[in-house]
Amino acid sequence: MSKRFSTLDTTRLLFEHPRILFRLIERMDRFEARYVRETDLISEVMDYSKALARADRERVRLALSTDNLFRTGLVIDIIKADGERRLVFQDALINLMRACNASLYQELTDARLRGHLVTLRDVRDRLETSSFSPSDPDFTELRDDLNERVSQLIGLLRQNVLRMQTISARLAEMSGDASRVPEKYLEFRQNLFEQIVTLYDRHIKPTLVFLNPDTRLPDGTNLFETLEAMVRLLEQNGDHSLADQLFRSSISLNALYKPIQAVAQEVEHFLRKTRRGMVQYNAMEHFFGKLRELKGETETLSMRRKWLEGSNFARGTGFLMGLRARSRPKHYAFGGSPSYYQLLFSELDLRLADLKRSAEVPVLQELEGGSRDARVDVQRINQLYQWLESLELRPTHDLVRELHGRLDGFIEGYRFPDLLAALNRLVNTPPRGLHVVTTNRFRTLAPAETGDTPPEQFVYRKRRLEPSTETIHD
Amino acid sequence: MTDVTDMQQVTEGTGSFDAILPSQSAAVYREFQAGRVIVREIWDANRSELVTNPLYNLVYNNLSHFRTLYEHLGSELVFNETGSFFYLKESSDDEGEEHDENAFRVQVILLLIGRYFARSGRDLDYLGRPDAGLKEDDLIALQADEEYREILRAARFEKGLAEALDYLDKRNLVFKAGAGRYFLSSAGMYFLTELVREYQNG
Repeated sequence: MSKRFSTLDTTRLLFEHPRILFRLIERMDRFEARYVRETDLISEVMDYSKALARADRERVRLALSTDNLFRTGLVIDIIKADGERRLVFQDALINLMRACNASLYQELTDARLRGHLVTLRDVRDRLETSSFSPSDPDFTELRDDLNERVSQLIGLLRQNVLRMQTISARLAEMSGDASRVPEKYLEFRQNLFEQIVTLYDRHIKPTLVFLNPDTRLPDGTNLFETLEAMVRLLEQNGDHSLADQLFRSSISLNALYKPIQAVAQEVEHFLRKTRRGMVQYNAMEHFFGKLRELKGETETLSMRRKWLEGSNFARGTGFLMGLRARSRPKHYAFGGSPSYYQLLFSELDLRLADLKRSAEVPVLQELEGGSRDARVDVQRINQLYQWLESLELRPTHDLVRELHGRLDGFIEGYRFPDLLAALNRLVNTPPRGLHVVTTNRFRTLAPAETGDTPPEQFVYRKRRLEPSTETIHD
Repeated sequence: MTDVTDMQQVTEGTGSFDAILPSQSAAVYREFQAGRVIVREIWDANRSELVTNPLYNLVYNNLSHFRTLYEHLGSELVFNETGSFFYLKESSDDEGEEHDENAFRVQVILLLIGRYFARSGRDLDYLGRPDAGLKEDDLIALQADEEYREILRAARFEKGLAEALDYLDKRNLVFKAGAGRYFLSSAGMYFLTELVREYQNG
């Protein structure tokens, strides 16, 4: 085969079809090996690519061939042993893959944790005899080593916490049979206990002990004492930035204690459960798992999928289907109070005053789209202003609407933009004894549709017309 | 339809109408219009105890009347005997996405509460008891969980748990028994027990 892919494209393909590597990593973990057998890789690829379209199938098979993987550097070594070829993948790739799938995180065992602690103690011992001089290559190397170890440890533990937090799903899985079949409950229970106790003893408890600042270890200092000793050493020798960094790391590590403690508590609760409690627990876990799937669907790259698509879920349970609140029809604001009548009469008075002057009503010149003359504009506006001068207004909460109501249908040739001019005028030269307050609330006003013009809407800031004396209280 | 048959129906119908006070029937109507579930017992915040809901009894005692009434108004009166509650279902002819929206949102919150509670090692029954239920620590823990927060957000509860609980409270699915304390109504409990039952049989 002559065709080959670049490293970038091969990696991209691997992540487009992550299941292949997920399975291989699972197998690696199960056999506690650091390599993948070539035969496993081939059979996995064949198996997976069977379902793909032809072009895709060829692409995947080519990209995941041993040859391509080795040339692109994703497989760093091929070992021949026991008559089989073993591929060692790049650590970085495997770790990234693990990061994409929480169930692939490696559980921390007591031995691994101890390994980390021993190396840290070793670094501390070396630090004690170090020169602390930036020009000493031994010291700078030691610094780098220390940084790497600590960040590695935090990364590992964080992954582990994430993994542990999926424990409820695992507990539900383990106890599913036990809780569903009442007759066989006792039989299952024994088996279940053993599984859970193993999980607790091998993984949760060691991590908890490791991260507990009060732990006493027979062979030396615990994690936090070791870190503290190093912080002190660095501070005494004036390397404050590294000391600070290390101190912050120890705080992060300390913060990991709590979530693990919560997990331990949950396991403990679980062991004490009755069958009834277990069914409840598992039922919740079961349906929550479905909800989680729905949530997973919103986490794809599509920007439009923001909300949970719950129709099927809701129909599945049927609870409260078709429940809906309806807004009640609004009643008209007719009232019987004196203030209502007062308002009504004052409004009528104003309208009557307008009508009495109907002989003086100006006729504003019609404006046709193109043929506008500045002189005509000025003349129109002046006519409008003169009318406004003599217009009687009362204090109102919404001056714009009030003004529109008074002008629309009353003055011939009135157009919507005239309202703007009128408002402008009133804001700058308000009627005697009154002033205009502009608020930050917005309202819309739609003129009556006349049929030949397209519907338009005017969004405006609400303006109040108030008696001037009140300004003092404002 | 001729006028004669119209008249006959009206005279027949008034029989059951006479048995019910208009103000009480209007109160029931208002509950349903607000999207509320009518449960048998409601929380009396002043006396701090569960009291019988007169509206529930009214509907229960005149079930066929209310069924007919709401049928004529284009909805279906649903009675759940196990959970002791009534609610009004929109008629199924406009079954769309929106149709399921409210039900789903209610279910999401109840499930989150149920799961949280079961994980904390308590029997779900305690969720429905005024003297137990969710305490302030529980609310803090629920709020602190990032996954729950994200699910609530994706279910359009942008303001998180407080908004979600308020949503249930307004619909009589949870009751607020004090500052930072909530418990589920019989309708809310019904959903969780139903999930457990379904899991057991499934």
